[in-house]
Amino acid sequence: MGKLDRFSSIFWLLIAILICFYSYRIGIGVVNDPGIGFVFFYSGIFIGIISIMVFVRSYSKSQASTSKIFENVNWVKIILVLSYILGFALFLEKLGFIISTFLLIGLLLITIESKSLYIVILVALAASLVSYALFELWLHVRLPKGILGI
Amino acid sequence: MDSLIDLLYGFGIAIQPQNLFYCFLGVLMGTLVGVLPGLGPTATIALLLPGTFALNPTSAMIMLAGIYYGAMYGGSTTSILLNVPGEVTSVVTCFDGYQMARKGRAGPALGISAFGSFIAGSFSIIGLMILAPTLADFALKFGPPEYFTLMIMGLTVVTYLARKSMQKALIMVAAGIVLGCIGMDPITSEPRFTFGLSELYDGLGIAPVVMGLFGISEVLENVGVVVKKEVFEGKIKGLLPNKEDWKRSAMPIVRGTLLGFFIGIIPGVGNIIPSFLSYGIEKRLSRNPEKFGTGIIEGVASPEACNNAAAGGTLIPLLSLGIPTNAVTAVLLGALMIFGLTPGPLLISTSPDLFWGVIASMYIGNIMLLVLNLPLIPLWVKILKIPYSYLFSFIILFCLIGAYSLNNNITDVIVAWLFGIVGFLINKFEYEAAPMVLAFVLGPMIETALRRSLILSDGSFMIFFQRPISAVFMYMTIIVLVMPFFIKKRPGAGLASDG
Repeated sequence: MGKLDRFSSIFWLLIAILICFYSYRIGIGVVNDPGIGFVFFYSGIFIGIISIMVFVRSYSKSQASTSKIFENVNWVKIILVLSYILGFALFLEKLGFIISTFLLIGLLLITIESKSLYIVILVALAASLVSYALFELWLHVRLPKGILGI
Repeated sequence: MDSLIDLLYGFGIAIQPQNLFYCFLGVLMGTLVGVLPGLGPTATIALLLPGTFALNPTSAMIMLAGIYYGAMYGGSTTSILLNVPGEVTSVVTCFDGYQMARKGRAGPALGISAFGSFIAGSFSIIGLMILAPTLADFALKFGPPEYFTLMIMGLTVVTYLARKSMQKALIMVAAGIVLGCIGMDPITSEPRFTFGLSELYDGLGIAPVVMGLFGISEVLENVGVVVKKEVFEGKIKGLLPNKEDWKRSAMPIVRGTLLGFFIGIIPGVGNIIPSFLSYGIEKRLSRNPEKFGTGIIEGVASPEACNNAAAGGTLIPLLSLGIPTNAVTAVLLGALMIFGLTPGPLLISTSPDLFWGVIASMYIGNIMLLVLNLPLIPLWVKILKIPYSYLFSFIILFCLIGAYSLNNNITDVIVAWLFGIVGFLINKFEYEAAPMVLAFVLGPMIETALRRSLILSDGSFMIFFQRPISAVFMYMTIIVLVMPFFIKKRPGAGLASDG
């Protein structure tokens, strides 16, 4: 009963405590001379109060259990997609835009919906070259050159 | 008379070849994202934002505004043909639009939706042209207390109209304010919540945050879910509504237009609620309310007119007060600031090229949409058949390029990635991202206005009740906050998601 809300309200309560603690450290000032942590501190207090209200209310609320909410979630695919995005971010400057994009699109196509290797290579290549032409050549966005030097 | 002269001046700017091109590109992109379920105008504007840096601000805003109102047009196509709203504002259109398509009347449904949108869009531009400068003149009387209370009222209305829990929306608002204030203090320039990362001194960028929350999270939400697309296969004929269709649709279009425009102006309302309200009103006024939901044209005409009129209405507080009223206008505000403009009452007088150029381009864009949309419907249907794996891959790619190119900085890509996870979890735990985005953009303005107000009043919160305009906003905020104790079902409860 209301398990999801209980989890999330505890999370927000912890966040609120962290915000209040940190903003108190940097200085909340006084009402007629608010400090740099003033808005953070009172926002934290506000989040804390409301999260307690959500927590209390969760006991009087029927809600789908956590497992039900997440039952249609394909965690393997989600973690893979997130890893590709993080990998793209970490290697973009080293490998350059064209190679990183080729790898990203290729891996995403294989993961999201298995396609034949021929199609994957073709689409990934086209996507990296077309997006390069669009952003770098037409819109003059400076994309990382990486090992190819372009 | 002055407005007409200014409008003619705006047309002089809007018909310049490059502006015509960007207007066309904007409405085309807008219609495309409106047609495609998953990617909304908020994420699209955010991810195209870096691409507009090479343009002058007027051309850029003409294109970005085109995406916004273009998406309102395009959203109805999928509602009618697939029973899947391309845009959240078109959810209501599914009720009767899809039923009309099943009865072989997809053509008139699409037709009346386009004509209704055109009529409403044109009305809202005239309203925008007249009301925005008037409101801007009035807003010159606003000081920090008035701005603070107006923004708080807007955020409170957003939480009241939240689809899920109002309490959760309040948490999202407060979290959005905290996130928006990260970076250097506006008064003392001391870093706050930057954890020693110099990349965070300027705060979190609106574009990576929005791309993560609405773009990447949407893909994560759909990865692995098998979606069976039932795209309308029959030949769409007779796009022009007949005389009887027009007779039945005329008044619903008028009512939808007026309702959408005036409700859209209210800070926090946005353009989702009005379309639901207009459907409800038509049903109530109808002699045959039981026929709603079975495929009658009034059920398409009114909400479609309403969501387009509301799009124009939401631009009024943005352009005259510098206050966004929904997530899309929050991103547009971010765009204005990135271009070095100061949104607020002085925007119209200091940047007349931009204001009148955008207004005039909206007239032209509306005509483009009407001319383009009906003949292009077969093309949109074909696009809907593109496999989601391609679509999702390209959404992710564009989000990442958009985030990177903002400052040529990997940190922004990682921020987009993080907010993708946040957006995914927010949805799963039944929170909403839209109030957070709005508060994120308003956060720094709220902080500055609050601190200045308190310094002005020597620490007395009574300043918000002593000045007449801010007192009105404050009392309205209190009324909205206590309303849930007296009204059982909030107007926004249970509606589909924004983005």
